[in-house]
Amino acid sequence: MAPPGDHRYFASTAVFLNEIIKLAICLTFAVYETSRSLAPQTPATTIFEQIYRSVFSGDGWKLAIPGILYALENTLQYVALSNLDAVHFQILYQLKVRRPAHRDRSCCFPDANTP
Amino acid sequence: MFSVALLGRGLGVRRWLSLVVLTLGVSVVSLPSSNANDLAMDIHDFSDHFFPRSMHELGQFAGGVSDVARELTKRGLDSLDGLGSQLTKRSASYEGIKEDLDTGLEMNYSVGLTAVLVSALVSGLSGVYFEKVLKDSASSVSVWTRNIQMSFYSLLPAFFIGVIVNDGDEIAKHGFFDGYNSIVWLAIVFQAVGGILTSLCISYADNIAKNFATSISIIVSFVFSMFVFGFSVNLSVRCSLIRPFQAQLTRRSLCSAQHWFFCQHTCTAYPRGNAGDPLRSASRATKRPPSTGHQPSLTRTS
Repeated sequence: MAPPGDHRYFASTAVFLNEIIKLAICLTFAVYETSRSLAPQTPATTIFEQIYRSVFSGDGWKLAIPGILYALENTLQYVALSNLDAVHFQILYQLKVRRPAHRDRSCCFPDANTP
Repeated sequence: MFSVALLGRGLGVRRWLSLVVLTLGVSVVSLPSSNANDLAMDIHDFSDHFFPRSMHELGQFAGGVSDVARELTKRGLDSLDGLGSQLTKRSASYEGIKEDLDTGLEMNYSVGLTAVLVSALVSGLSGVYFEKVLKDSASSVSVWTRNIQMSFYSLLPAFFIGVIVNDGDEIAKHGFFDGYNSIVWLAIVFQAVGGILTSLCISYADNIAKNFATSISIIVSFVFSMFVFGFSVNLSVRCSLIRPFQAQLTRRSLCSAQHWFFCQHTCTAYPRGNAGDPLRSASRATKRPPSTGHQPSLTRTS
């Protein structure tokens, strides 16, 4: 891809913007969902307060681990894609498939042991 | 391997076999590309963009500056093509050689390989963990809230480690949005939407359905790569393209993901695990042939 400036875009800013967009979309849906569950005349501050409380309470800290791993994964994907072409990247990336597959098989198909 | 250690699962013989096949496919695809890419980069790009660095350099090959001038006027630029391939073989270096040779898009295969392997490892781990948190928690928190939590917690390291510590100096010099164009924006938006859809897929279906979608995306990206980048399809790539897919199909038939997939659609009418229900066996009968019939056709072309 030909960069318009003097060099390519920064992968870190791309990862950052990616998360910003995701956060915005999810926040929109969360606001929509919360506003439906509350009374129609609820002020916006109450809605945001409720979302804030649900986000930062309970076991929300548990999501920090996959969250950080996810940021790492995204950064590595940019590194990988700038060094490989798309097909090789996708095929190599399939190595991740086997882990969830094993897990799912044992917990979701207790009756599937007999093929 | 990781799940065996982490979750204490045993692996059957057939699953080990499919794992080995998958690894084989991966190694086959990685072998030819490393050679082919390097050759293509070295010869094509350099001779196309060849530019004489100095008159002295040209003179070395053509036997003198006056000879060069005469050659240029006599035969035009055609003679330079032959010179170009000779000149790029030189091993001399000087200040600013990077800019002259324009190797901005050079690919380092081993770096990419390592990155993708670590990324796959991390992805599997975080996927399983996310699903565990999403489904095992006693409190009923909506998936949107979970997504907000997760993107919030990945925002912090992405900003502080990625943007400030890693690229901080360069960004201060060039600006945050340097090098951005519409395609970059499109890629970022697609990735964000894809991430959200992935988490929805995990929450409403399962990790295996997500991976089913991913294996479709291999084929799609293969086809697009063929058209967009002129990716040449040789025998080994085709073989290895089929192999992970085959391995997946093998595993899928082993762990009955399709079985479960249709369970999802019919579980309102029939309880899960009811092997004799007519609707599911009918849907299986109609769905199985295309996937198994697809495979031999691919194999025949290779």
